[in-house]
Amino acid sequence: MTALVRFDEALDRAIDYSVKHLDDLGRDVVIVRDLFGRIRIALGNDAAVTDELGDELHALLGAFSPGATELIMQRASLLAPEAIFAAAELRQITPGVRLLERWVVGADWLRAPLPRKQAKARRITFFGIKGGVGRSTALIAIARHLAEHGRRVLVVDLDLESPGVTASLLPAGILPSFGVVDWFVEDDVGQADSALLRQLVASSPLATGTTGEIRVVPAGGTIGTESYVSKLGRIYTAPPGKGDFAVRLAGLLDELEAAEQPDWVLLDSRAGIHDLAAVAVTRLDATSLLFAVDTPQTWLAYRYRLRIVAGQVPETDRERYLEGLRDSASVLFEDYLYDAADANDDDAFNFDVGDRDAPHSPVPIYWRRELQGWDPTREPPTVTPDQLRGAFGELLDYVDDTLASAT
Amino acid sequence: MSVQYSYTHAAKRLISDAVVLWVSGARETAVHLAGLSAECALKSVLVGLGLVPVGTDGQIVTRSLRLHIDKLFGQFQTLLQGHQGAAYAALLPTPVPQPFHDWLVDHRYVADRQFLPHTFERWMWAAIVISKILSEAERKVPREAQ
Repeated sequence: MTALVRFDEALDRAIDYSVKHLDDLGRDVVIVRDLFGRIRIALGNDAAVTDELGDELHALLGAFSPGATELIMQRASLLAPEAIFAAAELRQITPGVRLLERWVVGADWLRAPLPRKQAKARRITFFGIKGGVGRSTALIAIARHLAEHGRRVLVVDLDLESPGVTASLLPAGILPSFGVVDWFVEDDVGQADSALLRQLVASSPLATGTTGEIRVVPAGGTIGTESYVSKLGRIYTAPPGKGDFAVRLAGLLDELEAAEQPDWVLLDSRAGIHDLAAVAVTRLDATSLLFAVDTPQTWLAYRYRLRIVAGQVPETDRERYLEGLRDSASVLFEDYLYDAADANDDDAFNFDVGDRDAPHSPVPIYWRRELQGWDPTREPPTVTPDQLRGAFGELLDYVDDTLASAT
Repeated sequence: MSVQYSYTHAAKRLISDAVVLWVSGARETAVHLAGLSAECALKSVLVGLGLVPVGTDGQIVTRSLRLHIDKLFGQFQTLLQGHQGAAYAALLPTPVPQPFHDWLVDHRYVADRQFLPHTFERWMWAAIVISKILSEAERKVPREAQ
C-alpha cells in the first residue's frame, strides 16, 4: 500500500520536482497551493511539457494533486496571469522557483504596508506572539510618557477579541459611546460618518497634569455592550467596493488621524498569528514592537521596522537573561528576516549578534512587583515615577531617541 | 450596433436552456450548454472579484484565449483566496479530477452515443452546482449581477 503524502511533504516534493526539472519547465516556475492545499505549477515561459512530466508530479503529490491533466498551467493559457506571476504574496524558494500560497486567513503577513493619506503621526504597533507579556502596560507607560512631553497621543484598542488597554485608560464613566467594532458594522451599511467618528474617542485622565493629551478609541463603547460579540463576528467582511479588512482598518486610522491630529498613534494589537495582528504589524505603516519572553517559540517576522522588546525581564541575573533572549532572536532573524551575510555587500540587511541597534537586540522592560495589577488612573498613584522609570526607562529612551528621530 | 456582454446573464440563460434540453432528452446539446454555462458563471465571479479585466462592452479582454470550463475550472481554484474566496471554494464541486476535466467544447461536433450516461450526469450536475456559485456572486458582488 502506498504511503499517504501529507501536506508538508507534498510541497517539499513539488519544490524538489521543480528544481530537478527546472530546464524542462522553462526556468520560471510558480508553485501555486490553493485553499485546499492542492498544488499546481504555472510556467512563466510556456515551456512545452510532456505528459510523462505531468504524470510524475501527479504521482508525487498524492491527494494534494488536482489530477494529472490539471497540474501544469502555461502562462499564455491563463485568464489572469498577473494574479499569479505578479502576486504580492509570491515567495522565492530557489532561483527559478517561486511559491504562491492561497490562504483563507493570514495573507496580510505577506503584504506591504498600505499607503496613508497623511503620514504626520508616528504609529507604533504593540504586538506579542503570546499574551501576558506586559504589552498593554508598556503601551500605557509610553502614552503617559509622551503626554508628559506635551504630545498628543491616540491609542486604538485593536485587541478586539480580548480588549484590555481601554479599561486601564478610560474609567467606565468616560467611555465613549462607540468603539472600533461599531465603526465596522456601521461602515458595512454606509453609516460610518464623521458624527460616529467623534463618538469613538474619549480623553484619558492618565494625561491629567501633563501638557499633552491621550485620546482613546476603545474596542467597543457604552452602547450595545451586550451585542459586542454580534458586532465582532462581522468586522472581517469585505463589503462591495470597500476593500478587505486591512484596507478598511487603514481607512479608519486615516480618518481618526485627520480628525484628531495626533503626534503619536499607539496600536494595541491582538496577540498571536491572527489576521488582525497581521494587519497591525505589516500593513498599517507602523513601527512594530514585538514583545517576547525567552521561551522557544517562533513567529513570522518582517522587515517593516521591527524591534524586539523583552517583556518582564526577571529581577535576578538580568544580563544573562537578556543575552539569551538576544541570541534566540538573532538566530530566528538570521533564518527568517536578515539577508545572508556577505562581506562584500554593504547594503545587505544583516547585523552582528552583539549590535545593540539591531532589530533582534531586545529593549528591556524590567519586571517589578509594584506593576502587578497597576491601575494607572487610580488616585493617589500606586506606582511612583521612579518605579515606572525603573521598569520602562530603556524603552522610553528608545522611543525618545530612536523612533522620534526616525524618518 | 454595439452589443453589450454579460457573463452573468449568459450563465443563467445557458443553464436554463440546458435543463430544458436535458428534460426533453437532448443530452449531447444539454451538456454542451451546461459546460458553457459553468464557464460563464466562473468568469462572472472572476470579473466581479476584479481579477479579470473587461472591456467597455463587458467582454474579458483576453477572450482570444478561448478558455473553456475544462481548463478554467483549475485556474479558478488557483485564484481564490481570503474569506471571500473560501466562500466560493466551498461551493465548488469537489471530485478529483475536477468534473469537467474531460468536457470539450469540440464535443458539439460529436457523433451520437459516444458518452456513458454517468458522464453526461456528472457534467450536468456540476454545472448546476456551479450555478449556485453565481447566486453567491450576485449576493457578494452585485455590480456583475446587474
